[in-house]
Amino acid sequence: MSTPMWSCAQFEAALSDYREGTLAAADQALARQHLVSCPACTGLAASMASAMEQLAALPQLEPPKGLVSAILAQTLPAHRRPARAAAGFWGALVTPRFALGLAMSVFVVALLLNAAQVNLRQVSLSQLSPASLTDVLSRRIDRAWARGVSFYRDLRVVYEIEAAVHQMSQPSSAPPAPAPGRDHTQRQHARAAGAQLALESPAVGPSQLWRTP
Amino acid sequence: MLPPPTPSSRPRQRLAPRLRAGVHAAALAVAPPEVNVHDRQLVDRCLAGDASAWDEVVRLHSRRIYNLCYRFTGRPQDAEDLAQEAFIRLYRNLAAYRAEVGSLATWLTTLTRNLLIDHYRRSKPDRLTDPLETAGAEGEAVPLPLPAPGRPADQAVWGREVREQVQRALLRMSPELREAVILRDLQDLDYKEIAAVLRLPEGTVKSRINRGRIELARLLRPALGLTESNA
Repeated sequence: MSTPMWSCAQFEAALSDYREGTLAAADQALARQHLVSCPACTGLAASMASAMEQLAALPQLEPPKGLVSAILAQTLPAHRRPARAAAGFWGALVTPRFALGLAMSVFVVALLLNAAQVNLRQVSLSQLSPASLTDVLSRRIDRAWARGVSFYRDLRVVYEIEAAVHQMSQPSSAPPAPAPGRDHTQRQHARAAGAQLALESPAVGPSQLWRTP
Repeated sequence: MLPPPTPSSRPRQRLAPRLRAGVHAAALAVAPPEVNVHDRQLVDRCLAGDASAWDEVVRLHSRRIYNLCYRFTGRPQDAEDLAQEAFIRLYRNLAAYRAEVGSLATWLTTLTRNLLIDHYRRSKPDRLTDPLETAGAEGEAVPLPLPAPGRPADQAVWGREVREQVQRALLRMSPELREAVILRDLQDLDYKEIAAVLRLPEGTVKSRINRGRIELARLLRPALGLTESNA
């Protein structure tokens, strides 16, 4: 009496058991017999073996670092959290980023207080009013701006460069007469004339020339 | 932040009727009581207000639960959110744990699996417009060129691409087959544990795992350069 052969459907249904060797001995023999005679099921068995090999090679991923802390924060009350979890918050405070941020904040506040001329030892409410602070800051900015402009204008090198540029742009010795009504051009000519004079007579300072109306 | 779990805060029957009727009953026949003594002690400590016990539970299971969520969803952010939600549910229902019915790990896996299925149903509209899912539905699997022998860099790249293809193939499987394959082949649960988690007869579980593996093999054939007839 001949042994009945398995169909492809029967083999497929038992494929995992066949791979794991959990089939009964008779079924295991039938499965093996079917494999020999069926290229499609042979290919399927090979594909499953390869797929399971790749599946087994998938790595165990590390959960995000904050996962445990987030779970503990959402479940335990703060006073009952273990020290390790609580250290997460204080640990974050002593990070370099937080320390640098804190230092920068202190620096900016000190700078602003200094600019506003607020003495913390003798501070009064009137000094901290917005109008007072704005007024003091405005005055200090104006003063600093005026000093900067004055310093720049007094630089000899600036004045010499401008004079040289002007001379190069004016080939003739006598500057052309300024067009009536064009104040800007008139001022440029006056500056050029002053620069020429300054080069010839160093006794006259550049700041005096620039301040010539 | 949730209120601490208390053993007497709610009657056990009202806390998790689904678990009581399903998972616990299914796991009753498979889990010897002595196996879960440590779980029982750990849960008792949690219920007594021992924060370090709950910390231990979270640290013990968070990696496995995160991996389960990630393999099922394929998205790190979703996996993180779902893992958090699973632990929150566990914390809320700690009082309902019965060590004689099953291990804490099995119970937590059941909670997570329920969340994953809920998430799968909720995110159906997103999947329909997701290019990855659309490509998957069309059956596109790119054959991967084999790495040059003796070149570790090529092999590393090939390995990474294969892993991505495997993850994509998992996402293209139906959720029933996907969860069965993940629990068996990635989480290393045995058939009885999976039957307890899925609340299915063991025969159905074995059938699903087998069909899932065959489906995965067929999906990965093009990527692995295999055909139906080559061995």
